[in-house]
Amino acid sequence: MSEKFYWEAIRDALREEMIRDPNVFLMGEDIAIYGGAYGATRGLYEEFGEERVRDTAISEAAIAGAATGAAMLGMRPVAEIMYADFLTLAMDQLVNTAAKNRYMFGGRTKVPMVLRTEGGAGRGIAAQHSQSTEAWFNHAPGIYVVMPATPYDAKGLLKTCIRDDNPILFIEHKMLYGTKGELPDEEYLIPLGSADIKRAGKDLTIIAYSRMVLVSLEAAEELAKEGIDAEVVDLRSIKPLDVDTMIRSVRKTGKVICVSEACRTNSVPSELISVIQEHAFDYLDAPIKRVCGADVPIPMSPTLEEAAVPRAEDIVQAAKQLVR
Amino acid sequence: MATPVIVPELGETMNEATIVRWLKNEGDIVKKGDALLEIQTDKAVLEVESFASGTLLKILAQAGETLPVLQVIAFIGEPGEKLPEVPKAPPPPAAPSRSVPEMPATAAEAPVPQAAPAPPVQRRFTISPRAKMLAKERGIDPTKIAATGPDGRVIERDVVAYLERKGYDSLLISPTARRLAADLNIDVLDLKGTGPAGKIVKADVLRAEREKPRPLSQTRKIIASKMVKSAREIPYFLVTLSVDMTELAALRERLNKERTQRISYNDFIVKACAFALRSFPIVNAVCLGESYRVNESIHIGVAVDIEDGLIAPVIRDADRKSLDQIAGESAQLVEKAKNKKLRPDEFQGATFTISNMGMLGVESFTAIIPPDQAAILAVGSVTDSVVVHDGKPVVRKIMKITLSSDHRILDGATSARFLNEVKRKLEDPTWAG
Repeated sequence: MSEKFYWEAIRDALREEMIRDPNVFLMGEDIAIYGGAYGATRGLYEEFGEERVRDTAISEAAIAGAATGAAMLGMRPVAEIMYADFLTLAMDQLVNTAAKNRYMFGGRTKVPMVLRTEGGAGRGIAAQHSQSTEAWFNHAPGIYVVMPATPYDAKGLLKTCIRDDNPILFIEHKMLYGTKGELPDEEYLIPLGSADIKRAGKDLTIIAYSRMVLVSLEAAEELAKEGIDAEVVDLRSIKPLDVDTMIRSVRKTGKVICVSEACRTNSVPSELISVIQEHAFDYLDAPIKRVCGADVPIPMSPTLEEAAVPRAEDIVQAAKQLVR
Repeated sequence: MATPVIVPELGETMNEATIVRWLKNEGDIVKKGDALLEIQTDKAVLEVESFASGTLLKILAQAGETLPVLQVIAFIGEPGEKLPEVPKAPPPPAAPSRSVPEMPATAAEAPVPQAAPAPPVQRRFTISPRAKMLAKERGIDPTKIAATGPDGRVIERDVVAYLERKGYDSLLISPTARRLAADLNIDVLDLKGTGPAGKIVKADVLRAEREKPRPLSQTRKIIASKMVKSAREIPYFLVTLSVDMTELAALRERLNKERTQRISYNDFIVKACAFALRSFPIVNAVCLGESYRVNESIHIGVAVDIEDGLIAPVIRDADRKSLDQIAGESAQLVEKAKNKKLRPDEFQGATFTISNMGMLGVESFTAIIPPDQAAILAVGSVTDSVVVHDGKPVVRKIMKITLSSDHRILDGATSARFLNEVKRKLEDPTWAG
């Protein structure tokens, strides 16, 4: 075991897969010479060269489209979109082409690509560089969405995604790159559609993903001081969704909070709540709560930015109302 | 302008009716006079006819629904016509305001057939799905549980606390009994165990199911309220006589040999009472509290035992009908009564009632005075009995009759005299021969 940064875990996963499979290559803005905006591809250009670590033009559509094409022709590209906010420019390639081609070509092609990106607020870089856009892709059939919260999860999941034959959106969080975690030295994989109980508890269930997992754990600590024992479920995969783990927890506690940094309306929690009431209505002791970002563009002012997304105390408040 | 179809008011004391079934569908063309639907009111099923011709545009109330009188239940008009808003039916009025002055109701009185005044506004019982599931699993009634959840909702911890308070876990109950109780929605905490050491077994649950209170049928409710009214308002006394029916029995046999429509003992009694009522009009009256009314006509109700209760079809103007007419009519009315086909005018308006339990071997009994009358005659069976005649024992056919009288307008002497007149008419039936 060794302690690594989240960005290192990403980098190691990429490196290991590139060694393992010569078809894996990287493309994106500033990923080669610069080593990635957050350091996730640092050193890879030096190790693998410009054919396999490619700096692209500033064109998200081109990045996504080229990756799609390369994947259809037998490569396993890991393309990067520097900010999840810019996925909008790549939407058509991702949603209409990458996501649909396997189906529309009757299975005669496949699109084994990973699209890495990062999102989230916390760096004060305002509305067009701080969004959480996963809900848009959760809604598009054919493309999958993975959002690891820890270095351990990031590495295990990224390797799995690269080996998977489907187009997968791998969304990192800009504020997580600097977090640390213990990683095994030997190889390990985490399957898709596998949630993780980050903290077992019996009084209520908090379902979260990405950075909100850490915020939820912080809230759980606070709640524990007042004798409220919260279970924190880290989804890890948004799609495919580990319904079983989620429902098992709901059935155990009967009280649920779904957390997301994204805007509240039509967020992933909206979908989770629908699924929960479908599978566990009779087990609910109270209506399900959503703790989400406000339906606003992320402000630039640090104070406002902080207030626009869920904080630990928001989760603590919601939990207290639930168990009152 | 579309014509509304309303629940008709078919009797002074009728406040509501239940729709049995619609005979026409939305969109059907109907003519004035067509039967539109069947309703159940009091104790009979009636057809409601249309007072307009046109298309049945919209049906607002369905079979099974109970609605107050005058409530709009459908519209007839031209297709495409705009239909007016129909306000939700108010609960039928507590005081029988439509009642004629002869029934001055006291303020708190519940009218016939309305059961009770509108209940006070109650908070809706709410329970979380989890708590509901737990209560059901344990076979207990959640409405008894004190709620501590938001908005007065019963939540899981409330059920848990309740179970503990009631010592649920130390309850001795077989798994079969527990499951059965949950399925039948019987609260296991209400059960008395008859198994070993007081264990609750399947039989106990089944017994509780059989003993579950069942609601009174519409018919029974109506009967019950009339009886309560009578018991509450009419101070009654009884007068009993024995009638020697030997002569009448012989006459009856002779007359029936020559007839297809047989004459029953009761037919004779109806006629005899009719005569007596002519002679004692005060018995053909009704007390209205501070006043009383002597009825001009003599309409005699004959109590008939029907499926879920009793009803008394009326032989109108019994004093002006022959014995044969009375026999024919009463046979018809009894038939109709048993088939629930009596029209309101056929069971309303009696001025005196006869209840005969002779065919059930009853010696004598007390009948309850219908609230709109002053007296009722209870008739027992005709039995061969030993009586004294000229100092010697003889066997005669004896029938006991008991008159219940409203002591507000009838005194013992009057009732006795009336009853003696009935007895005279029956013992000397030359008027019938």
